[in-house]
Amino acid sequence: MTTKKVVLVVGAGQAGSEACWALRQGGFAGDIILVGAEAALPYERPPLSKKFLNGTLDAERLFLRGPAAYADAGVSLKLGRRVVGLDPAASIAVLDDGERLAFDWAILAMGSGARALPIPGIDLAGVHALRTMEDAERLRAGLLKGGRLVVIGGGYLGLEAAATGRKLGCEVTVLESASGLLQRSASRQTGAYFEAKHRAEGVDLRLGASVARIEGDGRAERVVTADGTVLPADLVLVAVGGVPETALAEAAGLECRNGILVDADCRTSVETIFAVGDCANHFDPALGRHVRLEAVQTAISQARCAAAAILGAPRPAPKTPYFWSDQYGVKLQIAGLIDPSLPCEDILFGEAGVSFAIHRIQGGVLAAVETVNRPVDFVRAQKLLGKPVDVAAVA
Amino acid sequence: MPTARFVMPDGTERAVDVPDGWSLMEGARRDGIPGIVAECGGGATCATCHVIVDPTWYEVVGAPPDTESMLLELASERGETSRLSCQILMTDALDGITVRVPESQL
Ligand SMILES: Cc1cc2nc3c(=O)[nH]c(=O)nc-3n(C[C@H](O)[C@H](O)[C@H](O)COP(=O)(O)OP(=O)(O)OC[C@H]3O[C@@H](n4cnc5c(N)ncnc54)[C@H](O)[C@@H]3O)c2cc1C
Ligand code: FES
Repeated sequence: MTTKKVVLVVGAGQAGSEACWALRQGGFAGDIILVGAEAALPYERPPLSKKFLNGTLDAERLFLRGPAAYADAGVSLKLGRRVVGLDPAASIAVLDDGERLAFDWAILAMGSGARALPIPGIDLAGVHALRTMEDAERLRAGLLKGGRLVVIGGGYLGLEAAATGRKLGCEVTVLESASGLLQRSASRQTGAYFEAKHRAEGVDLRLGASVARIEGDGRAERVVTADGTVLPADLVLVAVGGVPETALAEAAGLECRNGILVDADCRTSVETIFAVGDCANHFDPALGRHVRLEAVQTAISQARCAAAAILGAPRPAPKTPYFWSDQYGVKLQIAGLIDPSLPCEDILFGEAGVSFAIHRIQGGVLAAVETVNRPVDFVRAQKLLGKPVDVAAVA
Repeated sequence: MPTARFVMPDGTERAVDVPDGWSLMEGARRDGIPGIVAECGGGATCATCHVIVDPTWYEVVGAPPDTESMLLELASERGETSRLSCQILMTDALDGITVRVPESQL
């Protein structure tokens, strides 16, 4: 009698759930166990700062699959349960209730958590983070009361929440420590566009602002910056980035550096253990370096890579990473990746303050493209990514 | 609730009940129809929800707007009646709509 092989997937989010479907579609006949710390079925997070936060999309439409789909595919769900220990040598995982699960392969898909901001007052009531559906529901309840929202962090998540706050009638302040918006992730022109857009929509945007503390009597009442500015607040959203969830992997002795280090197949330093999604720092063979991204498309591609490796199937062809953001009905789309350590030349097409495309050129090739309200150009440019560009000819 | 039929590349058919006002993609995703990946969650950005609409039904749903049409060019196996399933909102008028899932999307 042959015993069935077992794949254990740790983390029931975007990457973890995709890994299950990819395994089944690829013909995996063994057991698949999906363990997730959240009680809810796997759901998509992008709407949490967009349509779910403003109330136009209900919870039922966030789920990646309905309950029947898991049963049909023979995926055993263990939701509301956390993996607290991993023994790579024995191939055993331990859950928070003491249950021990043996596996042949494990896929770690634990995502990322909100980066902590170690300042006084961070634990006051009315201070929010935004990673889960419950976080979004709590934040929405606060936003619906109106009042003053102070967002700490001017990244995509903070800016989307700020836009939603305005839409729901709140007074909104955004505090960003850098001198411009989206400096690490987008071109100067795109950053400048969103700066102007938020100001035009009535957001009090403060650049170069560093937060010293949050004050209040049991509840957040004001945010104080390093230069002593006092900003009255009814609600505070801390959105200063994500940190990869690596504690479990580190304790198990897996190699970690800005995420769990994985090779092109998403294999960790242990042969039978893979890591995918936000928690993984993946060697991208097309780019020739490790990258850790927090994006849906990346999570899905990596989940498929890991599944293919377990199945002994060829590695799926790499896909260009892409990302999007919606603010005030403006659609920003980004495809490709910039190497921040190299110089980059940006070429603007279209009208800077209205709708435009930015082609970002590194080493003579089109490395990334950003479009604001230009979906057609976005599609066109995607076909040119990675191809040589004659800068002199187009500039 | 209107029903949609998804024809898989191997010829098998699956019926999906799609709540009124949901997109065809959302119904397919909930029921785990293989090949409807929907990476962008219905944002008309990814083309991983591409379906080929049965010609008689294509007349009812109509041709895609320009942006969608461009995006479909990125999809493989684009046919005369291709649409993004996230852009087709289900109503009773579409009860019984039949679409094919392209093989390369699996
Ligand atoms: C508000 C918000 C907006 C976003 N907007 C966009 C966007 O517009 N476009 C885009 O591409 N991306 C966006 N993202 C990022 C995208 O959602 C993530 O990149 C994606 O969800 C990553 O998938 P994942 O499976 O790696 O992690 P997740 O989906 O976060 O899932 C990880 C899961 O693992 C669970 N877990 C962790 N540790 C354990 C453990 N030890 N045991 C069991 N379970 C565990 C967690 O509870 C969580 O449920 C957004 C994210 C957020 C939070
Ligand atoms: S879900 Fe992405 S285009 Fe339809």
